[in-house]
Amino acid sequence: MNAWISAFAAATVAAPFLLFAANLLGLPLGRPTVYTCILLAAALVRMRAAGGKGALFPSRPPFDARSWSRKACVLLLVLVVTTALVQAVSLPLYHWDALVLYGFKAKVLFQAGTFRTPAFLDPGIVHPNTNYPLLVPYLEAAFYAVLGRVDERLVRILFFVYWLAYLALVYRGLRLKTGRDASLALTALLGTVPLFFIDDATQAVSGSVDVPFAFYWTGAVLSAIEYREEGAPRSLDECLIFSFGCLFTKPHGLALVAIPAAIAFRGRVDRTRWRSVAVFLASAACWLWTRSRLPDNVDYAPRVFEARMLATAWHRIPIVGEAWLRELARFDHWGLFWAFILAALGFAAYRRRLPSPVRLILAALGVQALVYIGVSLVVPNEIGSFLDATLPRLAIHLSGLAVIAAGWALEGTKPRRPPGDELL
Amino acid sequence: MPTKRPRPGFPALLLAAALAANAALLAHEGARTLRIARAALGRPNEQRRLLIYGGLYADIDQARREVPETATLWWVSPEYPWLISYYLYPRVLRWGSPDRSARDEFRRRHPGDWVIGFAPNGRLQLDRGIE
Repeated sequence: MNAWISAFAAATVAAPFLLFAANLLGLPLGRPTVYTCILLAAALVRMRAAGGKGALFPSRPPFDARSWSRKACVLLLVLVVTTALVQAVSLPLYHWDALVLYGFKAKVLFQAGTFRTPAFLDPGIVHPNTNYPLLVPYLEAAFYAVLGRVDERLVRILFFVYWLAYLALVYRGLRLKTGRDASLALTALLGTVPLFFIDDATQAVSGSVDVPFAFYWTGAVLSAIEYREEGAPRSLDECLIFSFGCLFTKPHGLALVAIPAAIAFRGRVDRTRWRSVAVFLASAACWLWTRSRLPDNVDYAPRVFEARMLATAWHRIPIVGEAWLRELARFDHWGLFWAFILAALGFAAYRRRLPSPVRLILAALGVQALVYIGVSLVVPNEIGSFLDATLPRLAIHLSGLAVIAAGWALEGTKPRRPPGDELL
Repeated sequence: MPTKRPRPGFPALLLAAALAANAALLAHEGARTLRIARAALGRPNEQRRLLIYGGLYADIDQARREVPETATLWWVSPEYPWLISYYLYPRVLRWGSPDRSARDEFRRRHPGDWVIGFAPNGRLQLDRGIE
C-alpha cells in the first residue's frame, strides 16, 4: 500500500478513536484533547511510515504526459477534482444523512464535548439513529474544534479529501498489477461517475459517509489480498486499520469486516501478529460495548424489526433483484461504468481464466452484495422507497473494488512477454 | 524505423466510450455547479442556507432568534423534525406528540418551555408555554 494512503487511513482512524476513548475516560473534546489526539495520531503515522515500504516523499521520475489518452485522462481528473472542490466550498452541508445522521452528532460532540450527554443518551430527545458509528462525527467535531466554530461549508473539504484519497487508493490498487495508462484511465472512469456530482447524498462532498466507507472498505480488501499474497506483516496491520475504519464508519461495516478477515487469515489466525489483532479486537469491543448502551431509533415507529419479516422476505427477492439491475444500468447515475466493468470481466474470463486476486475481489463483492440484498429483504421499511434511497450509495461501496478487478482481469488477457523483454 | 502502434481492443474502445459519456455528463453537472457557486459567492452561510431551503430555513432562523439556547422545545406535529433538531441545537428538542391538536395541552403542561411543529400550511409554528 502506498505510504500516503496508509498514513491517511491510519490518521483518520486513530484520531477519532482516540477522541472517542478520551470521552470514554471522561475527558471532554476541548482544543487540548483534540490537539493531543491529533499529535498522537501523527506520531503513529510517522512510526508506521518509518517502518514501512516506500517513504512518504520518495524521489520519482517526472510524470510523462506525452500520449493523448494520458493527457485526456489527466484533464478529466483535473476537471472532476475542480468540480468537487467548487461544490464543497459553494454551499454548506445540506444533504439529509450528512446533517441528520452524522452532522447532528458532530455538532453535539463539538458543543457538549462528549457523547455522554442527554442528546445521545436520553431517548426522549430528537436524535435519529443515535447508535450509528462515530468516526466521521468525531472527525467533523475535531475540525470544528480546530476552527473554533461550526462551519458546515468548510467541513466539506474533509469529504473532498476523503474522495481524493479514495481515487488515489483505487489508482494505487490498479497499479499493483496494471500499467500506468490503464490505471489512469480506469481511475478517471471511476472519478467521473456522474453519481459523485449530481445533487444527491451520493455527491462526493455531500457529507454522507459513503465515500469514506468506500475508502476503508476498498483498502481493507486490497490489503487483505496483499497480505494473503505476500505475507508482509505491514499489510495485515493496514488491513486491520482499514477494517476498523469500516466498522467505525457505517453500521453494516461490522458485518463486512469478516470478508477481509477471511481473505487475510484463510481460516486461521496468524499468531505472529497477535498484538495487532488484539488492539483491533479491543478497540472494536470498546465501540460495540458503547454502541450497545446507546438508544436506537427513538420514536421511529415503523422501523422496528419483526421476526415475521423473515417469513415474507422471499416475496421481495424479484423486487430487490430488479432494483439492483435498474440502478447499475442507470445512465444518469453511472454512465457506462457498470456496463464497462461487466464487459471487461466477461471479456477477460472468455480469454483466460481470471487470476486468483480477481476471483478473490469478485468473491468479496459477491458476499458484500449478498449482505446488502439480505438486509433489503428483511428491513421493515417500505421496500420501494428504501431501495431508492439506499441502492445508489451501496453501489458506490462496490465501485472501487469493481474497477480494480476489471483492471487486473484485463491485464491478465495481455500476451505474456518473455523474460527481459520489458527492457525493449 | 517507427514501431506500429497496436490497434485498441474491445475493452479499450468501450472504456473510451464510457469516459466520453462521463465527460458529457460531467460537463452538464459542472455547468450547474458553476451557476450555484456564482449565486452563493460572497454570501455568509446563513444566506446560502436560505438559497437551499427557502422559507423553511427562514422559519428555523426565526425560531433560533426567539428561543434561548438553554431552552427546551416540544415537537408536536406528525412530521419528523430531523432538520429542525439539527439547526435548533443546542436547544433541546423533545418528542411531544404526532397529534397537532395536542399543542395547547403541551403548552399548559410545560409552561416554561416552547412548543414547535409544522402548521397545516407547512410553515413552522412556534409558541411559548402557557403560564
